[in-house]
Amino acid sequence: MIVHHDNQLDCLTLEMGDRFDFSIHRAFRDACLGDGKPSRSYVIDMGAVTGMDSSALGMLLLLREHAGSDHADIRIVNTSPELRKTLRVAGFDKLFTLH
Amino acid sequence: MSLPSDLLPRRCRLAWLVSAVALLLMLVWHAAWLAPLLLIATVAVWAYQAGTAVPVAAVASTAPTVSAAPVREALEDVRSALVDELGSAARELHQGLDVLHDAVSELGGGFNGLSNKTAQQQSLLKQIIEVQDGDVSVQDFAKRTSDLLEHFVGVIVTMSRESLRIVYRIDGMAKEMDAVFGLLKNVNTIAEETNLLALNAAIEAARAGEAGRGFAVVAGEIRNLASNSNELNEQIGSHVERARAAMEQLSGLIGAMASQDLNVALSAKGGIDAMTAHVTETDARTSAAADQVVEISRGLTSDVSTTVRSLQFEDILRQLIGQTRERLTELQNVTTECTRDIEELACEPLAAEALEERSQRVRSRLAVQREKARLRSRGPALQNSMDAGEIELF
Repeated sequence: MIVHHDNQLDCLTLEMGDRFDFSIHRAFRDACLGDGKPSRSYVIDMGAVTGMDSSALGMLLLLREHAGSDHADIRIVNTSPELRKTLRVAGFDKLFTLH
Repeated sequence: MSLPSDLLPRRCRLAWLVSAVALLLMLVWHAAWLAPLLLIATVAVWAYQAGTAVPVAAVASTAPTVSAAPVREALEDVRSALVDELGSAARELHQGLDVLHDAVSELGGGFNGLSNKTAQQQSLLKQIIEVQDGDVSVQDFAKRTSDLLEHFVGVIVTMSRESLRIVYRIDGMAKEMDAVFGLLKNVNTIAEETNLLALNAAIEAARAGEAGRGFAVVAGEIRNLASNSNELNEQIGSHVERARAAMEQLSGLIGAMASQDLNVALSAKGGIDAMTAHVTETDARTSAAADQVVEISRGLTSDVSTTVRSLQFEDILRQLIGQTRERLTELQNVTTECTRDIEELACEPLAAEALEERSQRVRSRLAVQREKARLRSRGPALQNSMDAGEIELF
């Protein structure tokens, strides 16, 4: 997972690796669930992801809570059709902006 | 018409001539007053001619008495042939009527059965359609299952979120433990320094000799305390270490709980979606087919009722044939009577008045027959069209 923060726009970009599951939960927390002030917007790049389980969805939901729930601006980009189906079934298309 | 002139008397020829001229005049000249005038003239000439014709006929009738027997025989033959022929025609008609009646009643029964079965079929179809439109449809079932599955996925995701929250909490606690561990190291350092200090104090006490003896005892106690404190520290450290390991384990367990494979739910969802689509398509096709079948069944009912109505032709035919039979029977009687009279006329020498009376009888008999026929054709109303009556089938 590569984390990049755009200071000008206060936008945090997370480029996920091939696995988005429990094994990265610590790195994920350190990257965006810290005690500090949440960023204005987040971009989760799923381009490289091949495997995802329910803990990934849990992490995304925690990020949404951290970023202000309904006021959160989180975009999930480069999702493969398969992942997009998973996110749809979980109702994430109503909570996040899917690209 | 041309008649040989030598066979006709002169007056007769005159009558023919006058008639021909009258006809020609009527054809050429269409005046309204001319027709009655010419008619009167023609009738007058013919009446005059008829007055003189009787003796001619009388003369002619006296001649054939010689050959009466063959004529009688021939007439007898004609009569019997005609009567036989008419009789067998009447019988055949009767047979035909019977056959027709049987066939039509069978046909009627068959069509009524067909109509009943069609009605049954229609009511069964209605039942099937009603069952299909009932409360629990497959589509409804699929929708409920799909909702349930979405709920299931939602529960899994919520559980994962809460599990992660716990894991993050445990991580926080582990961090606190690490801090405690760090602090314990500090305490350890203090103990070691205290130990060193006590050692120095003991050395200084030894140098002081007898005066420092008491101080040496205190220094020894302090060294003991330091080493006790060190031991305690180590124990606390090992406990914290164990708690830290337990937390790591717990975090792993909860992590396993949070990491659920969603592919099962996904493939189930895909299967249900496909099933719903299939059921929807099948439903539409079935209902279209059922509608078509109902339409066909309705058409069949109407066809059958039309056919049954058409079978009324038997009634009409029966009436017609009955009339024809009656006519044939009468014709038989008339033939018998008239040939007898003609036979007598032809074969027996009769006085002029008797002759006149017989021929009059034959003519009046025929006239009566004609009148009967006329009355009959006007009389009982015959049904001419089969569309005239509607038949109630049920």
